[in-house]
Amino acid sequence: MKSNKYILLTTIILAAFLLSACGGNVGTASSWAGLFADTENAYVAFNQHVYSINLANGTEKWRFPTEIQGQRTYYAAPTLTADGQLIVGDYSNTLHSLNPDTGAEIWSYTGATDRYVGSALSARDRIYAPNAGNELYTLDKSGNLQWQFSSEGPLWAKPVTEDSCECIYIPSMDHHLYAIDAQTGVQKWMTDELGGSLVGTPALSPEGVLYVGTFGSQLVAVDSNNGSILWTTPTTDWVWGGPILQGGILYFGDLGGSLYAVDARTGNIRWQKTPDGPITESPLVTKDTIYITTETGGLIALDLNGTVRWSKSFEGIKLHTSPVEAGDKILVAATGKPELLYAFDTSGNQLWAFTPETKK
Amino acid sequence: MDISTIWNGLIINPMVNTLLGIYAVLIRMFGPENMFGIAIIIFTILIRLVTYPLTMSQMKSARAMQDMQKSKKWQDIQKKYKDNREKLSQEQMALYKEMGISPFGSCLPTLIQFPLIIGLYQAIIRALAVTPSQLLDLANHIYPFINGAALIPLNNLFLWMNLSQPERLYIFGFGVPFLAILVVISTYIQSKLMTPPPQPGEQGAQMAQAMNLYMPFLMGWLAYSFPSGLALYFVTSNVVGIMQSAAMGKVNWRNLIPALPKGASPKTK
Repeated sequence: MKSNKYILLTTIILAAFLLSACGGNVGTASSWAGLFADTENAYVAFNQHVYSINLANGTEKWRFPTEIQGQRTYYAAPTLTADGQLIVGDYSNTLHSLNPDTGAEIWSYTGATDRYVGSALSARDRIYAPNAGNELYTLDKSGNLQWQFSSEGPLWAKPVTEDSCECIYIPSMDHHLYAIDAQTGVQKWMTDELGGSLVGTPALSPEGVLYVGTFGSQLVAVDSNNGSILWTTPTTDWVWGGPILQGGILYFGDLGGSLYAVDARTGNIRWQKTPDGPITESPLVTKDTIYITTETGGLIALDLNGTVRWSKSFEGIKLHTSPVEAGDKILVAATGKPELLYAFDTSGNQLWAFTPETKK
Repeated sequence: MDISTIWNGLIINPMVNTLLGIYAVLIRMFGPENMFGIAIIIFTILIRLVTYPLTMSQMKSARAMQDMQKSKKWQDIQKKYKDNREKLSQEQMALYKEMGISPFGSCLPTLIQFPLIIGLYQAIIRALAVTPSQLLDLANHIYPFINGAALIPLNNLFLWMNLSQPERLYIFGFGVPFLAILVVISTYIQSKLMTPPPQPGEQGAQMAQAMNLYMPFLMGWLAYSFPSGLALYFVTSNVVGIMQSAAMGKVNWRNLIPALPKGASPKTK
C-alpha cells in the first residue's frame, strides 16, 4: 500500500508538471526581439537581456541586466533620447533608463500595472511610454510621471508626434486612434471604430495625414486635425506593422503575406506582391529598396516597383522584427536560433552574426 | 503531419473557436463587460455535458469494482489463493468477466478527459493572447467564420479578476487568493461526495483517501499560480460535477458530514 501511495504522489506531481509545461510562458514574456541602432551600436531587447552590439564586428559591448533577474524579460525596441538615455520597458511593468555606453541603469519607473510591449517615444524632453495596461505614461527625463492617458484597450504601438500642434498620436487595441495634447495629456479627438485592433505605429505625412493599419484588414488614412477618416483601403489579412511613407507611397505588409504599395493621396493600390509568408512588422524602406522579413524566415529585398532583387531564407527561424538600417548595414533580428542578430550589406552578403554568450 | 498539428487541429482549434463563438454571441447580446468569464463558465458546462457519458461510465465502473470487492465470492477467492498471486490474479480477471467489469473502466474515462482539461486550459490561454506571439498564434487559428478582428482584444475582466493574471482579492491591502481557496474547497467537497464510503480492509481505500487529500491542494496550487481563467474553469467544473452527481443520486453526503443519517448516502445497487 505504501508503494501505491508513492505511485499516486508521482502521478500527481507528473500531472502538475504536464499542466505547467502546457502553459509554457503563460502570463510571462512571449514575443520577438526589439531592435534599434545608431551609427555605432545596435541595441537588441530579447528575453532576459538588452544587448549592446558593436556594429563594426558584431561583438557584445554590454548587456542589461548583467545577471538574469527572475522572470524579468525585455522585448520592446529600445529608444534613444536626445540627451543620451536608452529607454526600454520590460514585461514586469518597469521602464528603465540606461546609459547607452555602459548599460548602467540611470533610473527606473515602476508605476505601471502591466507590461511594456511597444517602444517609448522621446520628444520635447518627455518620454511617452505605451503600456499593455491601457495606459500611456508620460515621464520627464528623470523618470518622474507627468501625466497618464487611459484608453479602452492595451497600447502596443509606439506613438508618433507632430510639432505644429504639440500632439501625440497613439493607436490602441480598442480599435481607435487617439490624439492627445502632448503637454497635458488631454484627449483632443479619437477616430470612429476602425474595425480591428491597431498595433502598428502610424505614418504621419507633412500634410497632416495619419496612416494606420488595422486587424480589420484595412489601411486607414486619418485627418490629424480632427480624426476624420479620409479613405480606407482593404487588405487581404490583418495589418500588424505600421506603413512606411516615402515619396507619396505607403509600403506595408499583412499577415496573409501580401506587400502593398498604396498611393498616400488616394488610397489606390499601386502594386501588391506576395513574396513569401506572413509579414508581421513594418518594412524597411531606403531610397531605392524595400526590405521585408517574413514569418517563414525570409529576408527579401525588392525595388520600389516590387521586383525582388535578392532574398535570403533562414531555415527553422521566424523573422518578425522589422529590418533596421545602420549606416551601410541591414540588421535583422531573429528568433528560434542561437544567433540573435545578423548584419548584411545591401547586396545581401552576410557580414556577421551575433550570438549571445551564455553566462555560467 | 506532426503531433502538435494534430493536437491543434483536433483539440485546441475547435475549443478556441467555440470559446470565441460563445463570447461573440454574449457580447452581441449583453456587451463586452464580464462576458469572457461568462463564456468560460458556459464553455465549461458544455464540456461537462459532452463528457457526461464518460463521467457516468467512470462512476459506474468504480461502484461495480467496489461491489465486487465487497462480494463474498471475491473474499473467498482471496482467502483461497492468498499464497498464490498468479492464480489470484487469474481468478480476479475471471470474476471481472463474470460480473461484466472492465478493469480499466474507472481510469480510462479519466485518461480520456485529461487531454480535454489540458486542451481547455490551452484554449483559454490562447484566446486571452496577452503577448504578441500569443496573439499572432491566435490569429493563425481563428476559423474564417469567426470575426476575430472584431473580438480582439477580449475583455478579460470578470468581477474583480483579470482572467489573464493569477487572481487576488485585495482586502485591507492584503491579496487573498479567493478563487484558489474556492478551488481547494470545491475540489475537496467534490472528491468527498463522489467517493463511495470506504469498506473495512478495502483495497484502494487508502489510495482514495490520499487522493482526496492531495488533489485539492494540487488544483489549488494551479489556481494560485496560473491565470484566473483556469481557476474559474476549475470552480465551475467542480460545481457542475457535484450538481450532476446529486441529480443522479450518486452523492455520499455522509462522507462529508458523517453525522447524517444513513439514508443520505446513495444506494449501491
